[in-house]
Amino acid sequence: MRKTVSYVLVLAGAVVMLLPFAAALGNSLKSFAQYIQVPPVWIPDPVQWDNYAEVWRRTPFGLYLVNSLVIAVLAVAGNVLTSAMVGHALARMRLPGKQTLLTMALGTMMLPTVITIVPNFLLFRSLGWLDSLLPLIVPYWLATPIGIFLMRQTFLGIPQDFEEAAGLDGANPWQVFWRIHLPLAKPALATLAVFTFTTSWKAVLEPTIYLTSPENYTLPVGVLSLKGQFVGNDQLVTAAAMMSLLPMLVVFVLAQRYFVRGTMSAGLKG
Amino acid sequence: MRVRMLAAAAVAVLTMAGTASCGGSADDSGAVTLKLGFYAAAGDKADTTMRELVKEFTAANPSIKVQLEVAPYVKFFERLRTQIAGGQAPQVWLSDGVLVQEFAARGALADLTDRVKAVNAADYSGIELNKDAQGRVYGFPQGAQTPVLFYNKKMFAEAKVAEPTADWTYEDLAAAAKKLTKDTNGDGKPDTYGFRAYSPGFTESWWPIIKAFGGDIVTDGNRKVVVDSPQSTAALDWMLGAMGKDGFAPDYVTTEAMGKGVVHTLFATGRVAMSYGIYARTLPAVSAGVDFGVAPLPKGPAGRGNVAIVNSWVVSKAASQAQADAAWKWITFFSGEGPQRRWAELGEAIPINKKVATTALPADRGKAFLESLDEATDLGTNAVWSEYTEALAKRMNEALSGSTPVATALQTGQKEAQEVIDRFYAGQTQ
Repeated sequence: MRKTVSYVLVLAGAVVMLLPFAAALGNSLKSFAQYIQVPPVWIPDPVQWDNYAEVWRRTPFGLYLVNSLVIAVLAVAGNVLTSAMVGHALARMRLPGKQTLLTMALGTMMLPTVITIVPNFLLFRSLGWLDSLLPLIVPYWLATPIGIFLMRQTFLGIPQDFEEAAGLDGANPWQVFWRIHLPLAKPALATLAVFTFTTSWKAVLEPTIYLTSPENYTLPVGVLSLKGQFVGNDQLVTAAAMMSLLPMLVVFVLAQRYFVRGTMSAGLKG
Repeated sequence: MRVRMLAAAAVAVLTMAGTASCGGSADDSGAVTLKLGFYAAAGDKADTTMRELVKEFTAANPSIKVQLEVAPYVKFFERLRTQIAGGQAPQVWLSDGVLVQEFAARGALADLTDRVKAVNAADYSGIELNKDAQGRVYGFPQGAQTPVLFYNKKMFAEAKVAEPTADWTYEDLAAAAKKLTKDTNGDGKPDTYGFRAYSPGFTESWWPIIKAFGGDIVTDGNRKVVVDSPQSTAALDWMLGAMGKDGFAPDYVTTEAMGKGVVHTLFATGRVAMSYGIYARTLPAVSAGVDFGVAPLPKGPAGRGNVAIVNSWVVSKAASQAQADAAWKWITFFSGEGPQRRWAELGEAIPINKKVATTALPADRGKAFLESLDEATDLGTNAVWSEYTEALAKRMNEALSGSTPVATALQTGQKEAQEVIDRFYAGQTQ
């Protein structure tokens, strides 16, 4: 009986969560007149499959996809590697002022992006990186505060014995990090990878500011580029948004196991 | 070894990602390169037409190379503000008319006053509306917007109500709107309304209504807020009556919930029979297949209260002399008869070329818009337009939602909006 209730509750929750998705799917297949109809119709009639084709006709959607993938993959690689290195140093190495460094790194999380966007813009301008993908990739290769925190917590949780045993076998600090600690931190690395991927994938503000040529647009910027001022093209925007969701769903399904495990373990050790 | 390979690969990919997308802007031939910014949705007719016009322009001016920077409206201005701060703004861009003075006051725009003197101002609409308090011009009109009264012909015919005329007053509007308000499903609540009174876009709502009732929003070079007046009170009371005791307009909550961009679907979906709308509102109405007409705004005790927004081409102050000259060439090209006629075909804006405007607008709608534009005043533009109207609109909305008494809202709104203006202009003379 208790199991049945649980299933019913979970099912009800799933329906509630899926409802917006179903509504968006329906909206992506409507004409403009149907889209704005009040009260709204759930099932489009006729079904406008052409909305999806129209998105591809109006925009180089494939190019947006490639750009987003390049950025996301490189961002994940950079953030996972460098955050792990910094997190490891802060957790396991004797480093004067490491607590202060950690506090400073975490302190930057308090600054909203809108505060840092102009200084960053000036920096990237002086580097000649505007209207390129570099401003969206390189910062991830300098470790991120959330990544540092997550990896530090993970490395703190690994027993000292492994390190000592490796030391007795002649391993240097890099070998301890690379061969012992990093493999043990795989769930956290996967979690960080998923976080980084989703953050990079859905970023809107920075790509909007830094990218001006349509051939450099990312998916979210490309999706929003369909939004009209007077006639919203909302049905096209929704169709484009539905398509841009697919890669995220694939990543989440593949890494779901790590995502949940990593989230649960992130706050265990202080 | 594997680590070194990984690092080398990462550096190579990063370098490729950077260099592959960095477009070089240097031009060895000595031609002028002009970055031109405008807002449009990707693949929309406006986007396509603008690109075609740019092609025509560069074909006629081979020494000018144009680089386009296009983004949808909101994103365009979001990016532009950062670009201005970073000295990377386009040399010429299309600005929302209400933002021209904001950019100018922050030193981002070139003064076009002398260039404008060289054109025959009588040939174009909106030049006067673009002048600042000192009579300087920072933007040249690109297209104009002014609200008129949209009405749904089918709903009028079904309710056997005579269509609006130029002689209509606010009493006539209210009387017709009451007859057009219907409870079609018998649940005791109206399903279709005669009029849409409130809109988050105040250009099509309380601003012209207050002016029609004899009130004003700002005076003295748009630096003195004067909205707290008996006339404004009468205007807001009329609106509250429409949404309340008279019941011929959807209430504040219903309208606000739709959002600024969607509120005009009330007319396009036939939920309201009449609505104030700028020229661009014809687009959703046409897209939704509504059989509609337009009429001048009704007369209030002080007239119609016509207002206008003149979207304008502006030139960056950071542009070189050659770029500024090229930008002005583009502006005069776009204002010409051919490009203006092409732009008018989109149905987005009233052409600012008067010759084109008299012939290119749809015959049944053109007169009302052009007369409204002729009589229009500006929308209180100044260096802090966005901020002071936001402060004011907040209090107006409180009054129109019924959460604050009208007198209190007007008093507070005036005070807060004035503070915003004073803060910016402190120590400056006219």
